[in-house]
Amino acid sequence: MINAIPPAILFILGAFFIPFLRGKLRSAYLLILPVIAFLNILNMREGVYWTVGFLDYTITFGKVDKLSLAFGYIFIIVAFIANLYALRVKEAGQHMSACIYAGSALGITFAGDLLSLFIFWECMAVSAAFLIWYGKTKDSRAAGFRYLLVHLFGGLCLLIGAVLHVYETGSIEFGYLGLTGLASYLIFTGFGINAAFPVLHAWLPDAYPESTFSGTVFLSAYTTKSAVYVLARAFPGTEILVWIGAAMTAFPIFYAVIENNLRRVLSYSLINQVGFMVTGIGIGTALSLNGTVAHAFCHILYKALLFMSMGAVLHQTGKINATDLGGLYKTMPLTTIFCIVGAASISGFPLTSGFVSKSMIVSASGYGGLYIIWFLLIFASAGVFHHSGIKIPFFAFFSHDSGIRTKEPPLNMLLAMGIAAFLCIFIGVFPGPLYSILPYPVDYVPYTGAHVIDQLQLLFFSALAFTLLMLSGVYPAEIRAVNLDTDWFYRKFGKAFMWFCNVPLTGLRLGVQNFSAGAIKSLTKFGADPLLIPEIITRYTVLNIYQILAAIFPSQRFKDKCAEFEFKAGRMLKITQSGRVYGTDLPRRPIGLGVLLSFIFLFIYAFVYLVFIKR
Amino acid sequence: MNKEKEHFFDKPGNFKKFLGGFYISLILLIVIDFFVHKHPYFAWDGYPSFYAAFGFVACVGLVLGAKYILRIIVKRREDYYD
Amino acid sequence: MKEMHKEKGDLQELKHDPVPGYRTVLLIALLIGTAYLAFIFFAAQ
Repeated sequence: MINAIPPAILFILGAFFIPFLRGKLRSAYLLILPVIAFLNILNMREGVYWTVGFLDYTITFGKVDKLSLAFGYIFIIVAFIANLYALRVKEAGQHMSACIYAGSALGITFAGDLLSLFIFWECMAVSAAFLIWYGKTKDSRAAGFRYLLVHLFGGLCLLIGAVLHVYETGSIEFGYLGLTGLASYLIFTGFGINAAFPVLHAWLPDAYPESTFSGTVFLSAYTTKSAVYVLARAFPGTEILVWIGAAMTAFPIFYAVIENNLRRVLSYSLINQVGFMVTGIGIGTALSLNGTVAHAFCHILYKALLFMSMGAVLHQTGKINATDLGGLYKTMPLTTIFCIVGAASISGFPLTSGFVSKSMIVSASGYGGLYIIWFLLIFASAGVFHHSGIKIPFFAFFSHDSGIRTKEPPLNMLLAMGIAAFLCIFIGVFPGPLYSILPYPVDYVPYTGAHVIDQLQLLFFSALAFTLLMLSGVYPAEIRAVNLDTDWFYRKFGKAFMWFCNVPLTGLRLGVQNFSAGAIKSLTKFGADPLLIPEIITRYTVLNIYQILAAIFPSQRFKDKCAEFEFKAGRMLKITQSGRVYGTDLPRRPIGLGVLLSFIFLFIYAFVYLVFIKR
Repeated sequence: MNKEKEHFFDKPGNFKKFLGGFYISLILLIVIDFFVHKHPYFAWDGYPSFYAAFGFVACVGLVLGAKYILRIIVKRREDYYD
Repeated sequence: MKEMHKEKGDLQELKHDPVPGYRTVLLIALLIGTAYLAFIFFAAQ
């Protein structure tokens, strides 16, 4: 631990050197940074260290055990792969956001207290939003803001929960929490937003497809998986997670079938895969928790691989909708092969990484006798093959020929995909190394005859379903369209809120403004000549009295008075209407009148005060 | 584009061969299944080819559900949010 | 710009041409599959 430094610090501080480097030097730096971090993490022993005193609490940057180490390894490995993939990106800022983003996820992984966890949590949200904004389209700008708002809300839930927790227990330490009270429910919700729990998930398929071709590779790895890590740390064995996870595996596959944007299809299948992990956390046995960690490890690799292959398609053709693509295998054979490896892994084909990890979770649900959950997981396994395993490669690379003729992506992108594909198959063939880094001892054998044949049957007959549906023309047509999701609520609510601000609230504001402006105007007029209005009123009153008198006692005197006051009152009125306060024809009043008036007011005030209030 | 080289699936024969191989592998899977010793979790998943039947029916159900229920509820014009 | 917007609004569709006869195959396979599953669950009770 003396030899190692916190990996989060390495990435986050390391990110600030990127803008000063150019060309090959920057490329080398981007590749060496994860390598150093990996050597560094190999030097980290289990234990709790890197503690800093802060006020009355202890901040811990190094809570290192097998659980956090497993996530640490894969986060660094995928940082290397994604950096290699993104080497040709020109903007230093994008590399910086990616490094800070990866560093924040590593910070979360090794955080031993709630305060540093929260700070890294927010860092991650902001840097991810920048990765989305680098998409530099109108849609990505809007999606980035929505992403940020949702995650700031989640961060706020986490913060309030953490503060309550510290208040209740007096300890800032981050460890097992369990769903016990308001504090833990709030923390749970905060984690749940990042883990894309059902109903809280819409930010993911909303934002991820809008990032750059390489940004999405980073995004797919860190946010949801660090949420899986904190859930595994704080809420293992929480029963509701089983149901949440099972729902997460099942519902997104329906969306994935009808979605046209292929990166959005992958986003939905990302939720589906995280669902498996969440279920594993909820079951809470050693086997299921091992399965969760193993699945997170493999999932990060094959999901990055799939997003890289679709990123390559986007990079080379500028298109990502199934309606625009097809027939690319002719000109991008290597990308096609890598994509198929990723697709096979996510589907859990034997000899790929998905098989050795997903089956642990499914088995754990079977051994636990949770048959509804088991059915949902099997259904989701078949479904994920259907849309991620077949739909993605089929519509991008085969299907109808779109007529697009392009080239393979640049070497660095092919290399990145190649490394990820190699790891997917390596883990599938030799699961031993992966099993050795899991939190609990593993005595699970993935390759039994029954297991292999069952899985193959499930997958091949799903493929048969796809084939027959395609050939019979029943398979839903690809349509350029928007599919509503739960983001409808806040997108429409946002619009409704803006309307409410713009129309009724602004109307109210204008009303108040006009009223007060008018009041000020008349008060100014009144203040400039306070006696004018009482005088007019008095004169008209006197006029009225004379008119009544004239009507009752018809005499010349009253008629003269009437005419006189009519003239005087009319003159006064004319002055107020003209807005002219001091005209030549205005009778001047001595200052003494004003003074007298204020004396009267003061006297009334003093009288009321002394007699009624002071006593 | 006349001179473009002919690719694997451009020949209809290749596509047919591919499909044929696929169908044969399906039959093989069902046949092999009878000779594999199962250790089921529940009462039903030990039956031969349970996974095959479930995988097929589930996927058809998935696609039909997505096409005739979900799409009808959620599909909107692409400029819906603009 | 206006043209692009119009293109975006169109619900461009890409239907999959049916090969004759496969609808029946699909139906039969679906029937067999469902019947077999139903049998299994009935027998497993």
